[in-house]
Amino acid sequence: MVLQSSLKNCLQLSCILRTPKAGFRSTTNGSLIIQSTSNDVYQNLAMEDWIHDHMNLENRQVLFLWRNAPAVVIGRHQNPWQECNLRLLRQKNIKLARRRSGGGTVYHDLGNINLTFFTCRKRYERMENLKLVVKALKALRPQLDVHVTDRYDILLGRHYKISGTAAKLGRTNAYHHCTLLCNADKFVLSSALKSPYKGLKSNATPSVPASVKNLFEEDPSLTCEMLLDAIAEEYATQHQTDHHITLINPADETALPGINNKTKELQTWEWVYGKTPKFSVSNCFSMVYKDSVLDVKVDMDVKHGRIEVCNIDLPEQWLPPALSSELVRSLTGSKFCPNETTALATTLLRVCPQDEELQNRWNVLCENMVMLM
Amino acid sequence: MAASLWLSCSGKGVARFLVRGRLTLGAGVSFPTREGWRRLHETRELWGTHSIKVHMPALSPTMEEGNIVKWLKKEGETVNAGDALCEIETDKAVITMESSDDGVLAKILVGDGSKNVRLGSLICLLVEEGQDWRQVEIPADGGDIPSLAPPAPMLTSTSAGPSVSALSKLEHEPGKLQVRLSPAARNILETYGLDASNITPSGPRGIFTKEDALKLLEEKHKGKPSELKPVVSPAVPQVTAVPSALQAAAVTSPYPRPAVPPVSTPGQPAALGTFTEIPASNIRRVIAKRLTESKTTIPHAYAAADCNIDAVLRLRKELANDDIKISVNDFIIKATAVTLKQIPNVNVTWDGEVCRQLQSID
Repeated sequence: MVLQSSLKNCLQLSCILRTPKAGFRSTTNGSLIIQSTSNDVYQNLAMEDWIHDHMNLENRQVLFLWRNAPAVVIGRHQNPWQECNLRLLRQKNIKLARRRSGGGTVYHDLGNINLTFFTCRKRYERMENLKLVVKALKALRPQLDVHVTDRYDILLGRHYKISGTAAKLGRTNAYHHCTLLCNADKFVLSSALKSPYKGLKSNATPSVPASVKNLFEEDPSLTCEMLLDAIAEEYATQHQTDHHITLINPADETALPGINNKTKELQTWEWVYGKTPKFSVSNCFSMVYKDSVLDVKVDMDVKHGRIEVCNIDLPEQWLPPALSSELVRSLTGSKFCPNETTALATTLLRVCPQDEELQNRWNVLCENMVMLM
Repeated sequence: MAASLWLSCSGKGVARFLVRGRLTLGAGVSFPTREGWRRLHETRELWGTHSIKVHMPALSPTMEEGNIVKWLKKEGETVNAGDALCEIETDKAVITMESSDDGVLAKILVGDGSKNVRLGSLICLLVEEGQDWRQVEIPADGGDIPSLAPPAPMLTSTSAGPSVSALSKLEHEPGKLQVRLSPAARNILETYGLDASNITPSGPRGIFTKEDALKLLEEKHKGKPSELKPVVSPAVPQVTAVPSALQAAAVTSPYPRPAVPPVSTPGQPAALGTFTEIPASNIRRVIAKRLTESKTTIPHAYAAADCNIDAVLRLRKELANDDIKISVNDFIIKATAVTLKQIPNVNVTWDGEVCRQLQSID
C-alpha cells in the first residue's frame, strides 16, 4: 500500500496543495497523510518548509513521511564542527544539512524514518504526536517496551533512544518532526556524530548524546515499510481520515511552486555553514617535520562561517615572517573551509620563492591548518 | 538620608532617590502602584523617545530561557502587531515570536545568536511610529547607558508597567509626577500604600505634606500589591520576573516572599468590590490550577485523628545517621499507599458517570 503510486493520487494532491491559503475551500477537510518519493534530504526539508509556508492548516492536519539517503542533519542553532566529523562526511559522501527547527544533531539513512506532524500553531502538541507513534508501535508489536520521555525522546527498553524530536512554530502554522530508528547503520552513525575538532568555544546549541538502538535489533521482522504503515494507520484512525498515503515528489515545481528555490537555499554554504553562531577555535598542535616536532598555536574567531580573526603562533623564523603574515592575512575573511584554505595556500605558494625546503614547510603547515576545518 | 536627599534639586534626582530608596532600603513603597511607575517613566519623554519594551516571552509552561536565533526585523524597520519579530529557540523548538505592538524597531538589545536569555529579560525596544527611533532611550540594565538613561531598577519595574497597568485601579493621569514629599507624608504614604500623584500638594513649593497624605488616606483605599514590597536583594530580579504578566520565570523561591504582608491595607475597611491582584509566578499558577483541579474533581471526605508518630521520628533519625534522608511527608505517602491497598474502596475516582475503582494509583 505504501509503495502504490498513481498519477491520480499525485494530481489530487496538487489540487489540494495548490489551493491558496486565503481562498481555501475544502475539497477534503480531513487530515492528510503524504509520503515523499525522494531520498534527498534537502528536497525533503524543502518540502517541510513548503507545507509550513503554504498550507492552510486551520481545519486539517498533515502527516509527512520521509526517508533520506545517508545524511547528518543539524539543528538551526548548531555548530557543525562541534557536532559531527566533517572530514568523514566528506569522505563518505554523507550529506550535511541544517534544518530550520531547533534541537540537536541526528544521522539519517534509509533505515531511519522521519515523521513530520503539521498543525496550526494552536494545535501544536508534541506529546500527543509521540504517544500516537508509541501506540502505533505497540499495536504492531505489543511486546515492544517503548515509551516517551519528558524530553520528547522515545526510548526502547528504558535506555536506548530510538527517536528524537524537534519543532518549529511559525506565525500561523507549526510542525513537530521526529526520527525513528528502524534499521540504521549504527556504526556510521556514531562515527559521523563524533567530532574530532578540538578547542571550539561557542554558544551554539549542544547536542545531548544518547545511546541508540534500532527497532530491528529488538524484532528482526520489522521493516521501515511496516513502521510507516502502522503509523499512518494510527494517524488515520485518530484523525478520522482515510488511511490513504498520497505520494508526493518534492521536486515537482508545478504542484509545489517555489520549492526548488527552497531546496537550493538549503544547500548553500551560507545556510549550512554560514548560519553557525559565532565561535572561536583555539588549538595547540604538534607538527612533525623532518624529525623535529614543532608546537603551533592557532587562534581563530569564526563568524557566519568566515574567519574574522586569525592568529598563528609558529616557532620563530620557521617560516619567513612575511609569508606567515600573508597567510594570516589571506585567511582572515575567508571561509572556514578546507577547500577554500587549500586553494588559498596553493595560490600563495606560487608567489613565494622556489625554495623546496620552504615549500615543504608551507605544505605541512597548511595541511595541518586544513585539518582544523 | 531621607531628609537630605529629598531637598535635592531636580525632579530627576528625587525620582532617582525614590527608586533607590524603594529598592535598597527595603522600606515601603513610595509609589505603590505600577501606574505610578509608569507615569514616572513616561516623563522620560522629556529626555528621549519613549520606548515600548519587548521581553523574552515564555513560549511553553516550562520554559525558563531561550536563545535568540535570528532577528527578522532590522533596527529602523516598521513593525505591525502580529508581524514576526524574531526567532527564538527553546526546548528543541524554533519559535517565531510575533510583535504585540505596532511601531518601529528601535534597538535590538540581545542580538542574533544570543544564548540563555532568561524569561522576562529585555530583548528589544520599539518606538511608536513617527517617533525618532534613533533617540530611543536604552535602559541602563540593558548594558548601554546613554547619558539620559534612568536607573536600572527603575526601568525593570517600569517594564512591568504596561502589562500590569491594565490591572491597576488608578486612572491614568498625564503630566506631573515627581512629587516632593515631606518625610512624614512619605511615611504615611508608605504605610498605607497610597499614591501621591492624585492629590495636588498643598505645601510650600509644591511639597506634599503630611496633611495631604492624611487627606489621601481618608479619601481612598488602595491595596498594596505585595509584589512591590521589595525584600533586599531578591527584589530586583523578582520585580523583573514576576510582573511579566502572563509569563514569568520559574522563580527560585516557590512562593514570593512569605514575609510580605497581606494585601489589604491594615486599618482600612475594604471598599465594596475592590480587590488587589497579586501577580502570580508560573509555579504559583500551576499550583493554584492543580489545587483547584483536585478540589473540584475529587469528592472530599474529611476525617481527623491524632497520630503518635514518635516511632516514625525515631526511624527518621536513625536513617539520617546513615545519610538517608526521608521526610515525614514520605512516611505519610507510604502509609496512604498501604491503606489504599488494604481498603480498595477508597481508591476510586469519579469520571462524571460512574465510579472507577483503580487497581493502582500514582
